[in-house]
Amino acid sequence: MLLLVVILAPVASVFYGSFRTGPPGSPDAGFTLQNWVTAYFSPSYVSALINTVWLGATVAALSLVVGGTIAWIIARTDTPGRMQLALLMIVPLMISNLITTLAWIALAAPNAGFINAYVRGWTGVRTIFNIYSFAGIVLVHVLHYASFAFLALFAALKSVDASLEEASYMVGYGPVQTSARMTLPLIAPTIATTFLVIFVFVAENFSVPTLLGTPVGFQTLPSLIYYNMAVTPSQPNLAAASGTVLVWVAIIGTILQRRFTRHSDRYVTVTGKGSRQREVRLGQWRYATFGLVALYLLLAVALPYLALVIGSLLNFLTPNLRWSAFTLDNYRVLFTEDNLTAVTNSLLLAGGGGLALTAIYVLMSFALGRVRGAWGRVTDYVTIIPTAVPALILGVGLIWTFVGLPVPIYGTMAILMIAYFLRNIGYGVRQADNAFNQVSGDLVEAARMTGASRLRAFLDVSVPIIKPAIFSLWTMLFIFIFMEVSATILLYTPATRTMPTVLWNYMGSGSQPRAFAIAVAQANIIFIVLYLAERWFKTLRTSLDK
Amino acid sequence: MAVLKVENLTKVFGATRAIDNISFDVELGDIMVIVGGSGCGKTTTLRCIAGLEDPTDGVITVDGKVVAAPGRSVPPEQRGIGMVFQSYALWPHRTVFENVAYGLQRRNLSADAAREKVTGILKQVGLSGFEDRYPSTLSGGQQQRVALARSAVLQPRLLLLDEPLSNLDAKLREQMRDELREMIKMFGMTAVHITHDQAEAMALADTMICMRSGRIEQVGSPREIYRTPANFYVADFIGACSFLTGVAVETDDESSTFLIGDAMRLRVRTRAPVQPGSKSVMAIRPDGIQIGGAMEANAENQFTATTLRETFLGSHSEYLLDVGGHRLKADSSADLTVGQACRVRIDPAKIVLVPG
Ligand SMILES: Nc1ncnc2c1ncn2[C@@H]1O[C@H](COP(=O)(O)OP(=O)(O)OP(=O)(O)O)[C@@H](O)[C@H]1O
Ligand SMILES: [Mg+2]
Repeated sequence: MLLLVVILAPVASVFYGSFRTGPPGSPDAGFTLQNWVTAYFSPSYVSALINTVWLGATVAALSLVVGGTIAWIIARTDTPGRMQLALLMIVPLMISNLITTLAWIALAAPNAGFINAYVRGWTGVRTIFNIYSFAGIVLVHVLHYASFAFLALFAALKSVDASLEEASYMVGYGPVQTSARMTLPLIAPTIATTFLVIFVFVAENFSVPTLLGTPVGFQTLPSLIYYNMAVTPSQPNLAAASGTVLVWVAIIGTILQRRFTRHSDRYVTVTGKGSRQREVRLGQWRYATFGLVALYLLLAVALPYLALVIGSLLNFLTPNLRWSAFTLDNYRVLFTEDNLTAVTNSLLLAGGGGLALTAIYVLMSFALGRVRGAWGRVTDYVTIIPTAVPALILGVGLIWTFVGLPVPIYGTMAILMIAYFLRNIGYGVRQADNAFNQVSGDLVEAARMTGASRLRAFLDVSVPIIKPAIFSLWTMLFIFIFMEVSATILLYTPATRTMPTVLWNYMGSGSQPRAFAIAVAQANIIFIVLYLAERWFKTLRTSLDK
Repeated sequence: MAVLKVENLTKVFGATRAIDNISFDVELGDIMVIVGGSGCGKTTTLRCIAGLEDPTDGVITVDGKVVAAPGRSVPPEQRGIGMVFQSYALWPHRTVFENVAYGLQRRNLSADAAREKVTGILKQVGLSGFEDRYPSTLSGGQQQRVALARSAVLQPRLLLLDEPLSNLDAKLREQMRDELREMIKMFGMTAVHITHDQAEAMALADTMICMRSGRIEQVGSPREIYRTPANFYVADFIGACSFLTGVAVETDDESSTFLIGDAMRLRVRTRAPVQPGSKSVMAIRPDGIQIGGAMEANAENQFTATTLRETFLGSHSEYLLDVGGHRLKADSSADLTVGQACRVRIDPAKIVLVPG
């Protein structure tokens, strides 16, 4: 019950606020429809909506092409080093697209970008690729989400019953025809679902279009909302109204996606017997496919990381790498008191907060599993609402919900935790559900039949079996929280700053190399966490199996 | 002495009566097999006995101790009952040895004594050398044996088995069925086994219970149930059977003659008097029909038949015969060809009148 209030209050306050002339609670505010009229009908907002939809669709389609191709290469061909490549394919998803954006600014800014400068030296072309453009935004998103599409399609390809394809071979179709006629239709629901998920993610992202689009006049709804919130004079009520547009987009996407997921359960026949699919023998071509995957990893991980490291060691962003340009100052700044606060906060929120959220989601999953029937279904649906609400809007809603309350939550770490809790509730509860589903009732009952009490059976059987899944959930929550910027950016105060917010502010004030230094630090921490998680709990390996 | 007493057991799930007032006893050292179609309440019965489900009504007594009665329920771990699950439910994160040893850790037993017991039981089920393997690396039959060893090592008063053979393929199922009976007898255990496979039931059981929609249709030894099924359902469910409907035309104390259709007269040995002119259903097992021989003058229950279908099984064939327009199943090693005419005789003592 309390849960319902916590979940619904921020959303309700956004809708309420969108009809007001001032923030909720301010004495001289009245009702108005003006915000809605502007947000739904004024030309700049309509064009932002079109941009948002167009961007989301382009990114989703291209990500599927790139991710799908790589998934096919790794799942179905004899390309060398497939297993290692598959593990590496998860990494781009773990590095936030904000960090990738910074890296690509270093690589492809029109004048100072490393790639542009290098090509200019060779060919004299002034700017081979300008990252500040629609194409730049698409590139950064696709590099990030191709990894997501890969994971989804790889799992789908693996789970297609091999005998279905073999049957197709037996009636005389070759590998290519079989892929087109059997495999593709079988995984079509997964493709549709993945498209929508990526679409919704891209449509609610504000950081990439703000950094890469705003300078050239390209606005999406989220970047416009951020602009309205952050740039004085701020217009929060107008932001709320245009936020409702985004909520509709997200809700439609989520509903469609749920519908497709239901179908995909019906189509994809998972074999328990682990029958292996036929591998396509590529001959010499297998080096080409290896190269293709390696190229993606180069563009999505290696090159950006290198650019960030070099950029973070410079006084200012320049392609002229003379000795005098190098400095360690940007890292020294990391150790000033203010920035150390941010580092500590980030680690504390991601580590301790992530652990607390893991425990809460596990308990929720356990409790929701108990309350079956109508009440359980209501709660089930309510938990997907915050996932559909864009983070930025959630931030606005939380401010309005808590700023007026007598309890001192606004401006504390607690409000950030509430935001993270709501952001990840859908994912967290679902993962916890999956963990519990691994323990069939039989296993626990078998322990009781040998004389174990309820508690003993839980400790001896359930806990060891779900432990890896729970630790993996913690790892993922660590990463999500550690990278979170969209909700945090509206909710933090100097005392509760986090690494991404500091990075964001350095970008805003033009101190790019300092931002790069923070990005490098963030990326390194993520790499360490991922490495340890893989080492101890096989997190990456299991996420490939799912 | 009855190790298990079930009295008036009832279990209701929402609107379904999964078990409807059933009672039975299981004697010491017996293997009781409960057989019935899908959804008839077998698993529910077993889970009530195990304590994994609380009965809606009824009393369950194990070894003279009431373990379940209205408002009272001993938790499963204190009932001293062992159970083998349909999925085997071997713990995937423990080795074979650890699976079997788990229950012993709670008995006051020295580590050496426990080790000895586990090793001993694994040897008895033929799994020496498999101690350090994980369940996922075992074959179905081996997993099954680990599951049995895990229960047997605790020497429970009563062992419950929920369709433990249904995950195995046909050949292995037959082999394990015989081994299972031997092992249960070897351990001297009393067992309740459930299955929906009537052949498995007959092969395993000392006593069988035939269940249908939550009720008991018949209790008895496999022989009794096969030879004198209590009703149409049991006759049809257990073993092959043909049915004829006729009107009693002549009756005396020991037998009656029935007119089936217009021309076929069949004498039946009866245990209870039959009202002349009453209608009855007769059940005839394949082994009640003899094929072959020459027609004798004035012999009763003798007919000419035509073979409609043959299923060759090696030692004998199953035939579907046309006898005066009625279809009857018979077993024989006479090697008839389809369409061939032959003489058949039906043993009056092997025909059973079945109500409804
Ligand atoms: N937990 C439950 N909740 C609701 N109904 C149940 C539950 N368990 C069993 N039932 C119902 O009770 C009836 C008997 O089920 P049970 O599992 O005992 O059948 P069964 O004889 O073991 O069948 P099978 O051979 O298919 O395993 C069925 O109609 C089933 O749907
Ligand atoms: Mg069952």
